[in-house]
Amino acid sequence: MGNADAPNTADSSPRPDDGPDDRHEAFVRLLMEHEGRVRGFLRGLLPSWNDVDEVIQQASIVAWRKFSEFDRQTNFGGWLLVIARYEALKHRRRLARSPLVFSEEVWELLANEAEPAHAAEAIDRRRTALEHCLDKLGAEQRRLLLETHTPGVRLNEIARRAGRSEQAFYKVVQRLRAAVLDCMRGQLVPEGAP
Amino acid sequence: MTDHGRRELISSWLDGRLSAEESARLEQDLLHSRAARDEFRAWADLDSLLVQQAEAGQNNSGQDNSGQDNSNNAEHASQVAMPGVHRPWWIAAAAGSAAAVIAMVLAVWAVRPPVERPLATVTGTQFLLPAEPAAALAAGQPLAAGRLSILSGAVEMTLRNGVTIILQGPGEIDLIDEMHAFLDAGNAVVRVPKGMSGFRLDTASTNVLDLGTEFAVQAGNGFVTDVQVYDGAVIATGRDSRSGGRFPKRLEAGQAARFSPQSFAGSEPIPYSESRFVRRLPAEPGVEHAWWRAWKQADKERLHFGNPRHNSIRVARAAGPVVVDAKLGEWSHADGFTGSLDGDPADAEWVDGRMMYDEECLYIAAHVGDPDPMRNTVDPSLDPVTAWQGGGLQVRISTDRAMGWPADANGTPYYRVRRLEPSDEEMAKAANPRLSHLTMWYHAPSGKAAITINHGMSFDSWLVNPEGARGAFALDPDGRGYVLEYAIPWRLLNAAENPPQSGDVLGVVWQVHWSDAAGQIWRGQIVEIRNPHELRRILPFERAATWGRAEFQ
Repeated sequence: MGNADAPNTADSSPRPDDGPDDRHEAFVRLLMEHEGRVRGFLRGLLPSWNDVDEVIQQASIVAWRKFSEFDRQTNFGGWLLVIARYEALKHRRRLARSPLVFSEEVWELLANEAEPAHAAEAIDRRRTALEHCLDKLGAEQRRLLLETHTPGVRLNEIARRAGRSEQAFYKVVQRLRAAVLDCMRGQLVPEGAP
Repeated sequence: MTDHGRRELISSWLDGRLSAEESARLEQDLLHSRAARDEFRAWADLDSLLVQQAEAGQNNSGQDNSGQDNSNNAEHASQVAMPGVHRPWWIAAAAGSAAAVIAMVLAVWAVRPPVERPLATVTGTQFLLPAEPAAALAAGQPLAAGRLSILSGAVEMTLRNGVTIILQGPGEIDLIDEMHAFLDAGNAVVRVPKGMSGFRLDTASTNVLDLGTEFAVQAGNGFVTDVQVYDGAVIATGRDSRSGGRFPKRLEAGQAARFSPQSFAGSEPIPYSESRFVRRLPAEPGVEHAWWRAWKQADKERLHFGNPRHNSIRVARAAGPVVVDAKLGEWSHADGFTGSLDGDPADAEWVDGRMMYDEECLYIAAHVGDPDPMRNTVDPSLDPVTAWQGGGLQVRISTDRAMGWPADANGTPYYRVRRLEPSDEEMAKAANPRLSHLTMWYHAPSGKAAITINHGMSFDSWLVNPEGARGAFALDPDGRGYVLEYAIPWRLLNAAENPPQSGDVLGVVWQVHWSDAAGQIWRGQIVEIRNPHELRRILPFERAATWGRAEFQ
C-alpha cells in the first residue's frame, strides 16, 4: 500500500525546462486531479458549499501565483491542501460572526485531524466504498439521495415534488445518509481485521 | 450526547440548518471528544463524496453512456469536481497565457449547474448606491444566495417563496436560503406572506424567528440588535456574551426590544416607532431632481465625497446676545458661505451657512434649500448614529487651539476600512476630546430640534440633546427650505476652559443632508469647507485633516 503523500512522479508535474504553455497545462491538470480531495477537506471546515467554492477559487489563484516555487519532488495535492487550509482560515475569520462557524480552537482540531485523512488514496477507497453502498440502495432511494446532493437543487422542492413535508422528507434523507455511512464503515474495515 | 443526537447535529450543520444554540452544543462536543470529531469528519466526507457522485451522474447522463466504471481513476475524480465542463476543451484551452489560465479556472467554477430559479429578485430600489459599483441593482434583477451590501438608499428583495425584505443602507445582508438570512449591518424589514411562518433573520447577537408577520431588525454597533414588530409576532432570541445563555422573547405587533450582548436580561423594551424603518418602497421611482440625474451620469463619487467649493469659513464674533429662534436677526455681519449641488442658482438643494461665537457658545445657522424640508423621522433616543439619513446638518469642528489647522487625527473607521494598524500615538490622536461631530436635525414626529454630539474619532458614544444646547427650525414660506439656528456651549465641545479666540484657525467641515419625502432614506449631501490639499476620496468623518479652515474673527 503506497503513501499518498510520497513524492509525486506523475507526468503532469512541471519540470524546470517546461515552457510557459507546458507549465499552464501541468498546473491545470494537477488542479483538476486534486480539486476533489481539497474540496472534501474544506467541506469539513466550512459551513456551506458556497464557502468551499470561494476558498478553493482563491486557493487556486494563490497556487498559480506560487506555482513557479512548487517543488516537483513534493506532492501537489499536499501543497494545495496547505494553501487551501490557510485560505480557509482567512475566510473563517470573515465569517466569524456566523453562528455556524466554530471557534478557532475547534477549527484547528478539525483541520489538523482532517489532513491525514484526506490523503489521495484514502479518498479513493472511500469513493469506492460509496459506490458499493449506493448500489445496495434501491434505485429510487439512490436517485433521491443523489438528487438532494446536486448543487443548486433545493430539498424543499424535491419534497414538494414527492408530495411530502420538508421535515418528513429531511428525515428520510437523514436515514439514507446514515445507512450509507454505516455501510461504508463496514467496507472500510482495515485489512486483517476479523 | 447520544450517537443519534450527535449525528443529527452534524448532519444539520452540514445542511446549514443548525440554530446558533445547537451549533454551540455541537462545538462543545467537538472540542472535548475525539470520537465526535471523527464522526463529524465522516459525515463531511460523505457529503463531499455524495456531491461529487451527484455531479458525476449529471455529467455522465449527458456525455457518457458507456457504463464504464472509472470510480478509481484520478481523472474521473477531477471530472466529477468540474461539472458541466468537457475536459478536452479545457485542457486544449489551457495552452494560453497565464492570465487566460486563471480566467479559465474562474470560468470553470462559474459554470456549475444553475439554480432552477433565483433565490430572490430585486423588486424595488430607491436612491440606491450599492457598495460595489459593478453590482448595480435594478428591479427584476435575480439574486443568488450570498452577500448584498449597499452604501445608501434602499433595496427591496422578494424571495422565491414570497418573503419580502427591504434593506436600508448603509447595510449588508447575507441571503442564505428562502427561509433564512443574516443581517450583518443596517436596517431590514421582513414581510412574510399570509399563511407562512418560520422565516429567520439572524444578526451577530440575535435570532429572530417569524411567526407570520411583518417585522424590522436593526443590526447596530457593538452587536446591539433592535427588533420591532409591525404585524403578527416573532420569537427573538439574544445571547448573553458572558453566560452564553439564551433569552427567547416573544414580541407582538406594536412592541420593540433591544438585544445587547452586554445585557444580563438579554433584552430590554424600547419605544415602538412606526416610522423608524422603511416598510414600503414607492411604486414609482420617486421624484428625481435635475442634479440627481446629472449625478448618475457625471460623477457618482460626488454623492459620498461631495464637490466642495469653499476651503474656509469666517467665524464672526457675536455682536450681542443671540436669541435662538431661527430668525437670524443677529447674523447680518456673519458672511459665511453659500453652496449648492451643482453651483447652479436654480438647484433645489443649496445651503447658506454661517458661524458665530462668543465666550459662552459656538453658534451655527443655515438656510437650507430642500424640496422635502424638516421631514426627518429618526428618533434621537433610538438612532442617534443614523440621524443624518433623514436630512439635516452635520458640522465637525476642532476646538484644539494647540493643534491648530489642519486637524490631525484619523478615526478608527479610517484604519479599519483600509486594513491599517494604527500606532498607539495615532490611537491617542483619535481619542482627542476636542474634536467634535455635531448632527442637527428637525425631528418631525415630535416637532423638536434635535442634536447629537460625538467626541473624538471613534464614534462609540453620543451625547443626545445634551442640556444647554439650544436649537430652532423655521420652515420657508414656500415650503421649499428651512432655517436652522443652534447655540452649543463650549463646555459641550470640551473647550470651556480654553475656547477659541480671535485669530485662531481651526478645523471645520459642513455636510448638509437630504432625504426622501418620508424623512427616512438618505438622498445626498453637500460637503463644504474642506481642506483642498487632502485627497478627495476620504470621508470627513474618517480623517480630521480633510476639514477646512474655521477662521475666528
